Amino acid sequence: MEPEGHAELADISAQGRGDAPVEQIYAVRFAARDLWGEGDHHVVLDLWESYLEADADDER
Amino acid sequence: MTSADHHPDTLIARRVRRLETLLEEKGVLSGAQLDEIIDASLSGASPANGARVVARAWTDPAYKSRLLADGTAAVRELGFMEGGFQRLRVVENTDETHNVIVCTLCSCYPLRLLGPSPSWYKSEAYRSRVVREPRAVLAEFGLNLPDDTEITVWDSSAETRYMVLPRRPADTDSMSEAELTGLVTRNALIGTAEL
Amino acid sequence: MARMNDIGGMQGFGPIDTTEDTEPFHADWEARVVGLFNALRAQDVFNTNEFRDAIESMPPAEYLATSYYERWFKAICTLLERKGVIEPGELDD
Repeated sequence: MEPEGHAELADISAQGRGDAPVEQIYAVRFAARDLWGEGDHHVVLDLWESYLEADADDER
Repeated sequence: MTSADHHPDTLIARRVRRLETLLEEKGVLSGAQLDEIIDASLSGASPANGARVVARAWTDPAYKSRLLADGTAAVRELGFMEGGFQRLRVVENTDETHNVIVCTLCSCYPLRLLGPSPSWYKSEAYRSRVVREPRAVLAEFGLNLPDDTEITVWDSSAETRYMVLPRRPADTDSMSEAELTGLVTRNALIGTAEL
Repeated sequence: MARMNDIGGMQGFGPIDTTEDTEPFHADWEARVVGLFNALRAQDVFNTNEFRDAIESMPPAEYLATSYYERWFKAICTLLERKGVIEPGELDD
């Protein structure tokens, strides 16, 4: 998972409000197996920070 | 494409013209402005631009490092400023890894570097399938990768746009940068072809 | 929240038509629609996220049955009506 810049949170900006918060975006790499239970490849998604939950068990 | 392109084509064409006329009447836009904008958005958008970036990266290792570290700044060095997007990330194909790009949510794409996006890139079939079964999708493009090649699919789901740095073909050591530019195809920059 | 455009990994879409387009637009109206989009956005009538949202809010059956640039046109019309630039039905005269 790597930082991938900042941008206005699209969900809010899509409502036409001028007050969309700017959030960090992360490029997060998933194994296909974790997404769909099959496949040997990886998928990288760009996710705004508020889309992510902190995992209490993880040490980052 | 759907049959909507051909039959109701004239209906949609009339509606588009009607909207333009309305907007002109209301003083929102003029036909001349529109013409200018249409020209501007396509001019300068071409896969030749992405090809130049690739050829430079192949011939200049320091540039290649900069390109992979900060794609936005590196393409700007060559004079390419993508109007619409803030960030470009370039991902490198290696002997072990093959990269392919998609926008599953719509059809985002580094237009200035790759030219207008192909219909297949915008299709539901590509957008839904390449993240799930990339090997099969690439085979439909005639690209059959070895089983031990790892595939990474990059989904432009936010503001970053992605471009692939393809592997340099064999037996090209004597080629000039200009000649190398001519080898690079748009599909190789998306990841649905190798060179 | 999943919507019609959120199709990464969705199954049931068949083979990909990998034919190269001969031109970026199949008809002039498509280029005009892109021009309209860029011009209206440049004037801050709407932003890109609102535009994508308008496309994504289309009922699924309509989304799938509408060609790519026609979706853009419908979204533009929806936003123009919503913002009071045009009246509902004004386009249909």
